[in-house]
Amino acid sequence: MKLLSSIIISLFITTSANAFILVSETYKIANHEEVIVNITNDGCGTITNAELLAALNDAVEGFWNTVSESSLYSKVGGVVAKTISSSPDPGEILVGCDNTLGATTGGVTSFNSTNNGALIRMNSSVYSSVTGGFSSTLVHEMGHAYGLNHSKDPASVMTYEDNGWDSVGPAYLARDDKNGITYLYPVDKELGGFMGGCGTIRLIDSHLKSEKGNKSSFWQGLNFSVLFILGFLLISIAHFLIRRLKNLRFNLEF
Amino acid sequence: MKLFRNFFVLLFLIFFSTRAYSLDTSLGVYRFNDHVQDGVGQEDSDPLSPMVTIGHNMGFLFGLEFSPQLGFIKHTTSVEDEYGGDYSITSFVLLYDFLWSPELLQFSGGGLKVRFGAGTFIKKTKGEGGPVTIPNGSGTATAYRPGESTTSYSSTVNLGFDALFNLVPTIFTNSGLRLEYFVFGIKESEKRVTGTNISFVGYF
Repeated sequence: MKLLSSIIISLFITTSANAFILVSETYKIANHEEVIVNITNDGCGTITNAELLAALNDAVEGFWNTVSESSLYSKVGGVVAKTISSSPDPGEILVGCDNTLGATTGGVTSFNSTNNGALIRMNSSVYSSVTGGFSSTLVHEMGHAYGLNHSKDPASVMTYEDNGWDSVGPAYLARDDKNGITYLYPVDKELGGFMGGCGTIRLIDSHLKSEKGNKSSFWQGLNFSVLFILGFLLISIAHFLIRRLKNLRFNLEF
Repeated sequence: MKLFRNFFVLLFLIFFSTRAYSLDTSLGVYRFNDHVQDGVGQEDSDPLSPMVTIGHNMGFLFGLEFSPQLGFIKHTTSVEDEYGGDYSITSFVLLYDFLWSPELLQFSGGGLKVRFGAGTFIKKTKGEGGPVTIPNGSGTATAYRPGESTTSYSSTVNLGFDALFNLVPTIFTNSGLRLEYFVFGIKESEKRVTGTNISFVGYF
């Protein structure tokens, strides 16, 4: 009973919760369902392009692509004919190295607010190889590129606090990071699967609004939930009729 | 609007079935079994959150019962962060489950009902908004708290059971324990995660 009453009470208490924060009120990476992560062709000190691409692949697939309730998806492209002075394309995260950032800065991310791409400059005077610290900074800077700002949560890869994992690299994203990415890039496809989610079928509300009067829009607007109800009712009616017919035959036989 | 529409659909299924057998309600805890790290880089578990459901059970084909459920989760968050301010995460849950009662597992006054189906979790995140000054490099910078509410839809595949022992016969026709797993991202291996609900369940 104690457990039950605590659960009931907790439903009515506003939990003191704290959050991820954002780099801007409006910035989000463009084309967030297929962000391309490329590297510049002007080198990264003693780190080879292959090592940098492998580190990026780990950051993307091991961290930022793992947010289950978000539609954010990135993939690593390759080396492109750009330098760290170039502008990223829309929906592109361009990663390069810079040895002029100072001794205490691991990396810097800047945004192109007109096309919503991002440029990450890793400090090649601090990192001479792909270490745990390099991975921590890379995952952190990519968080900025997606729109997250610094967190006070020591578990967060966006943290600005002392933590126990910075030198060896993060193991996973923190819950706070995943909440932030879900907030920025929710899955808002209405009707894939059962009333939402997988995004293979889009609800046609917009067609209904824009094509009012068009006969075909009615059928386009019949979304999965309506079809589900109709299907369920049809099956129920069929089952009912079959049972009635069976009873009728039974009565006739006797 | 789509949230209201989905609720309408589920309420329709729950309350206007022509072949209704029973109503049920459950109260318990939910955990999202995701891989997240703690402050020292070790794997951490997501916190338990309270979850309530109401549902209806009605006859279906092949000896199954159709058991649509409408649920609510108030997600517990435990991060201490003076930058971010307060925010809340809640989920509305729409489950389209079927119940199978294997004869071997039925006994006088109770039994086990296997529960399976599909569902949608509708997660709403809302913060208090506004600018905040945070450390950045050797100085400070202006950052922004999440303001507007966003909603994320996730489809699930569900599997679990209701173990009924008639624990509270004075209130319910039958009652017991519900354990149900929800598989998120069934088609995407990188994003595949499970959620678990353990609840007390009562049938009216």
